[in-house]
Amino acid sequence: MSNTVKAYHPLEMSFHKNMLRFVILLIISGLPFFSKMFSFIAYGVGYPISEFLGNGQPLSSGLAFLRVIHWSSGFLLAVISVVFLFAMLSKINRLSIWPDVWGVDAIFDGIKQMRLHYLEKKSGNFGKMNLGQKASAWVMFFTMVLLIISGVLLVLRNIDGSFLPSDISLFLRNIHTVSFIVLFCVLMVHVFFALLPSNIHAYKAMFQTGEMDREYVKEHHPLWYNKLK
Amino acid sequence: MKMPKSQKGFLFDQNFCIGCKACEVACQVYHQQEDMIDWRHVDTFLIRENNMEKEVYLSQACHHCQEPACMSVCPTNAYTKRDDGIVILDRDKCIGCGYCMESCQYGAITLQGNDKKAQKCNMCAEKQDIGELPACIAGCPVKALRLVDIVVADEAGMVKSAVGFKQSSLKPSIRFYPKFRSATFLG
Repeated sequence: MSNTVKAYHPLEMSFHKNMLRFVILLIISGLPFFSKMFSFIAYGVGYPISEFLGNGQPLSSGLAFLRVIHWSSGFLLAVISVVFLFAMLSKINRLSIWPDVWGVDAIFDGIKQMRLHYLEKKSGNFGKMNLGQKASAWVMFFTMVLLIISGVLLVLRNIDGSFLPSDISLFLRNIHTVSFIVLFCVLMVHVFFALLPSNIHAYKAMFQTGEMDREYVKEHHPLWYNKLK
Repeated sequence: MKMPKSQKGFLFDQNFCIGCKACEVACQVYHQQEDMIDWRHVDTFLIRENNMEKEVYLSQACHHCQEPACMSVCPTNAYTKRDDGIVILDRDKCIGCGYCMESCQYGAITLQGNDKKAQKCNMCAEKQDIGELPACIAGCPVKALRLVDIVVADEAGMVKSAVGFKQSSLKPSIRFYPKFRSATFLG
């Protein structure tokens, strides 16, 4: 028996890495539109562009360029997400994002197991993912779906001004903004936990090997280990 | 935001407007607007007055608000407010994001031009700078539309409401002659 277990399929690793790149690009390129506090990003990008074009409009040039980056990144993220989702459909019932046990008691137990693991440094009774990871995965999924749908519609409105009435496009922009704020908060929590020393095995598995030590899995992810046997 | 030294605005007389849309046409002709673009538009409303149904009209364009939402949301700072209160849009800065159009509660901004950039009434600032009246005011045959200083209009007892006019917190620079008679708004 191998002393490692396959934690992530190469497709999952590749999707995660590319999604990370696109999300970073999307956040950086979207922030100057989100608030004027972040205009410095547009100025930073726009100065060389306006010098090159000789139009004397660093802010507008920067924002126009960032919008192209935002749209392109969003489009590519949507494409790889759709491809990934189709690839995952074949094993949808075996995905680790589903609850191992359903019900209110299971939620309280999940919280208790997380407290054991993160606060008391003991082994929790987890599957491949704990309750927090599953919840954040679902929130990220739904907010990304909302971001992509509202983003596509807003792009179409930008291409054709009469495509949507202004109150509908304002509603969509609010959806886009609120989804981004929620996603950003969850992402920060996700990144924080991903970088915890106690999470080094999962981190290495996701970004390097795709595999985790069997003994580690047996100790820290007993429910998952039982499924593997 | 720096407050302007004065605030120019429109004074509209709903009692006398005949709905001829000369103001709309004058604006379109002077600014050589594309098809389907009208910075100024005249809306028709039905009221009941002395047990009779009657149409009244409301001529509206950009209200050059004292606290313009378009100016606060524009990421490229394309909107500026002149010392006389006129809100000017620098279309060279506009990237057509549509934030201003969405934020304007009066539908005064459009992106439907060929260049996909925002456009709106500028109160014919360039005409005013050489001592002429805005095209819509000059074109009104019954003088239902006038140019005023909002402070003066307020002191003269002009009102902030009219049939069909939507109030907002943006402090729109438009005033109306008081109504002659009471009427019931029908739609």
